[in-house]
Amino acid sequence: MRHQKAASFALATILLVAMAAGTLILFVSPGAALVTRALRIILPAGAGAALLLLLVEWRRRETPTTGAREAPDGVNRMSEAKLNALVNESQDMILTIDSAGRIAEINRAGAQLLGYESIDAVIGRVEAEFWPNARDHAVLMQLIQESGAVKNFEVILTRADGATIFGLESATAIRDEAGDISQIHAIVKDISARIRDEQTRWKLNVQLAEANQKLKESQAMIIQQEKLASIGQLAAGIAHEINNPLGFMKSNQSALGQFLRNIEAFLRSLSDVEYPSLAGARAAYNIDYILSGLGKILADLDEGFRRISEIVQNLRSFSRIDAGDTRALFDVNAGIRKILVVAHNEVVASADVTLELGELPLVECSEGEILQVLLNIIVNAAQAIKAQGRAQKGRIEIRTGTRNDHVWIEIEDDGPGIPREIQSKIFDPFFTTKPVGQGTGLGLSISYDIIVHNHGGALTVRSAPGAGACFRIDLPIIHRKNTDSEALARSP
Amino acid sequence: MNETDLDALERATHGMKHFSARAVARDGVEGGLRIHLEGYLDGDAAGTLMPAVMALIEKWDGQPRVVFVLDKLEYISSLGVGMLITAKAVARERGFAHALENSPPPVRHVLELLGVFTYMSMQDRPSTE
Repeated sequence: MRHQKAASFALATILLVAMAAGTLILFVSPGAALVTRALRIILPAGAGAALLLLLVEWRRRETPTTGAREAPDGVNRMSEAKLNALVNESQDMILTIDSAGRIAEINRAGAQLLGYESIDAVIGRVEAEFWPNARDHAVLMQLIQESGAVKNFEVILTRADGATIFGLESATAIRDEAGDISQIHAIVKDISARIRDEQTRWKLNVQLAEANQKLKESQAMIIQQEKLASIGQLAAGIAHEINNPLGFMKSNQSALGQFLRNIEAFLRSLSDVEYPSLAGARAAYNIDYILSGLGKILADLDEGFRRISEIVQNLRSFSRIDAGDTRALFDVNAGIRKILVVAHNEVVASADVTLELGELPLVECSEGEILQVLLNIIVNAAQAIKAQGRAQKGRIEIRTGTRNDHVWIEIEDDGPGIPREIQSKIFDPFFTTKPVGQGTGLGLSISYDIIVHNHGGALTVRSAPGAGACFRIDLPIIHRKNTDSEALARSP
Repeated sequence: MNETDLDALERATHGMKHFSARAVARDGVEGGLRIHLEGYLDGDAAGTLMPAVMALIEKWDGQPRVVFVLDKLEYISSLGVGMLITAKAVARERGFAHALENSPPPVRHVLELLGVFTYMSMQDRPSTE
């Protein structure tokens, strides 16, 4: 009712003004909007809206029913009514910002997009207040200042209820006679739904890429495991082949030792006094020298055969890698000693190894897999030290102990250490700092898989650059069946 | 990969008034392909840059790591964010690590709003390039 009164008052006012000033309003068609705006500032808001409607209606009556009239230059122009309808019925936000940065005009869709029930609630507000990101607003203003217009600039706005909306803004600057921006006309299209769809698509793309990568990693790990299994089989074959001749060599060596000891006893029983002619022959054939060295030679042979046996035994331990889930009680300390025999050649030139092995219970695990992990970490430590090219040998300390229901193994070196930034990546498949061709980047990844996934343990590292690295393995003493079966049991 | 390959981003963004990009190859443990973005990464810039960035990552044969250095980025649109995420997907397909580095607060705000940090990591470190 109040609006109707205001509209009537405004109508009367305009009619009077029009009569006094001739057909002012009729002939300001190109600038009608400006006049409307100017009057709107002067008149109360409600009267302004009524006046706007009045002007639109007046223009409608004066315009041919086609809604367009022929301009002097021959260009068809859309009627004010159509323009108004376009603005009011637009689903996009259409607004005018004044030179003070306040919203001077906005359509219904704009007010609703900003979370307001009425247009009046938005008019006069500082437009920048709706921008959560002041820098983005400054960027847009700079672009408008520079070019006079901006097309499809993506904006983020905050609604009255605090929700965030995404929009695509096109804006044009209106300049006054001095060239300063007096107004900005803008249209903002709500693209929040499109952005949400994009977010879903991004997430799917990344998940797909991750899944593909995991697949590649799994394939590579399977190939590597197959390779190790093949090496294991090969080692088992070699061990078997060596073991057979080793058996009769040891047997013959034992008999030979006994025979030689008898011959030595016999020769020593022959006295030079009793058999003077033997003295020359004894000297000519270095018999005394031979007899004095015989014991050492036999002892060395014993040691050689013992070491060959040990290596063969260790190779057979490795050959169990491919035997699947063959868990048995395993002496971790004995395993470490076995590994040091196998890795002797890799380690001996680079580092001295010290052992601090605590008293451990037998651990239920896959011996071959645990040996593989130990070998990998120890060889890595030796290679890291070697890569420093230092004058003196490095140091590798291996410690073991128990804690609650776990045994732990620490392998610490005094090599270059691992930069903090990459410590979280060293167990990732294919991550390597070794030169191309010298490392697959799978060793630690497979080790992690064996300890964590196959044995329910933990494999961690602590290191500081320049201060070496310490890998720690925690293994449950009693192996619990993998959580897969538990998860299956829990699943509906 | 040679200098001409690395220059592809500068060529692609040459003539843009408010945006530029360049690629740097870095060796060593912290090495990798480092892509510096500067200015306003709006829809047009992202659309122009995207094919060049993807081609560069596809071709990259250095340390398996791609880092986008954002300290001089002033504005980013959703298409710009989409480019970063697509780059991550391509990098992951090739087994590369991927990270964003030194994002200014306004850009970080947009990345947060768009949920980027659920699948991308941000590192802050002194810039040396």
